[in-house]
Amino acid sequence: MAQEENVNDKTWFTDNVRAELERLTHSINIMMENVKRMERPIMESQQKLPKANEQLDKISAQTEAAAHQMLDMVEQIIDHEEKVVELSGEMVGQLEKSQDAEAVSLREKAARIKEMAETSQNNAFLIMDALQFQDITAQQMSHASSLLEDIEQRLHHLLVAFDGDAATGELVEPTKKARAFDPDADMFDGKDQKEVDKIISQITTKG
Amino acid sequence: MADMKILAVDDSPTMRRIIINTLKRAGFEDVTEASDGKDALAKMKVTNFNFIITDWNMPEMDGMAFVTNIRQTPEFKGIPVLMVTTRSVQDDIVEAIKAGVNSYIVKPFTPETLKQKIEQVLASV
Repeated sequence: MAQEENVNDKTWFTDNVRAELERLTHSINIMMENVKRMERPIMESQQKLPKANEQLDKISAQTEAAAHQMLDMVEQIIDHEEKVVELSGEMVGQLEKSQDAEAVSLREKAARIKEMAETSQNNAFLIMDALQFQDITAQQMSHASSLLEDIEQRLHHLLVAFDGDAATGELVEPTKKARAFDPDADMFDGKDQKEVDKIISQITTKG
Repeated sequence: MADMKILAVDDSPTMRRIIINTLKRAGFEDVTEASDGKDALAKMKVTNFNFIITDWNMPEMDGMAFVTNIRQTPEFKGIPVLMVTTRSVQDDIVEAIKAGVNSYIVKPFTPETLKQKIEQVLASV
């Protein structure tokens, strides 16, 4: 009798374990199917990233080309205004000795032209200074590209993990371009030169 | 000042052009450009420069490696160096000064700051 009960217990236990294992297997299969379903969107995302990087590089190259075109024009304006300053200055000098009313009027006009040309020249230099934005935005874009390349590499590792060793032959490991940039480059939020000078002064005083 | 030979090192062609124009406006006519530390060292082997302006973040050889290299090279170690960079974190400034940079400017800079710093450095060496 006791032996019969023991056999029934074992059967009950085995059946339950089997049922539990079947449920577990089923759950794992569903999970694997879901994971597999994620593979395609991840692959698509990974394939889109080089295009995004390409676009960022294109923006950098085009803003650089545009900045150079602006610099060409600014340099022409500076040279042109330099000539105007020089010639109007000569006119002021030539008319300086004459007390004739017409000469005095012309001298005043020449002095005004010189002043205006100097202002234009200074403004052209200010435009040139503002073009420093191109270096700073190029560094910001390089930083963004570098982050995209990191994501691309991580997605690649995920895809390799999905497919195991069989897929490694088909999936090409993305490469990272050598980029030089300051991750904190900013046109407006960087330290003020006065703060930098204060730091330098503290170091040199201590040193 | 006009006969000084300055070497401007920056990987950004736009920035090099701005620096050269600013220097010319300040009366420094003889300016040579280099795109990184490696290019600069090659140019320093054929020309004796009196002053160096260098960026920090550059490919091949960055500004810090470049400054360290010239401070360890007997024929270059006395050349004044001004670093012009976007890096404005205190630790970076300290690191640059300790590596041998004579002064430090953050981008974007004004022409007045550049001229003033060059004059200050030249007066101190």
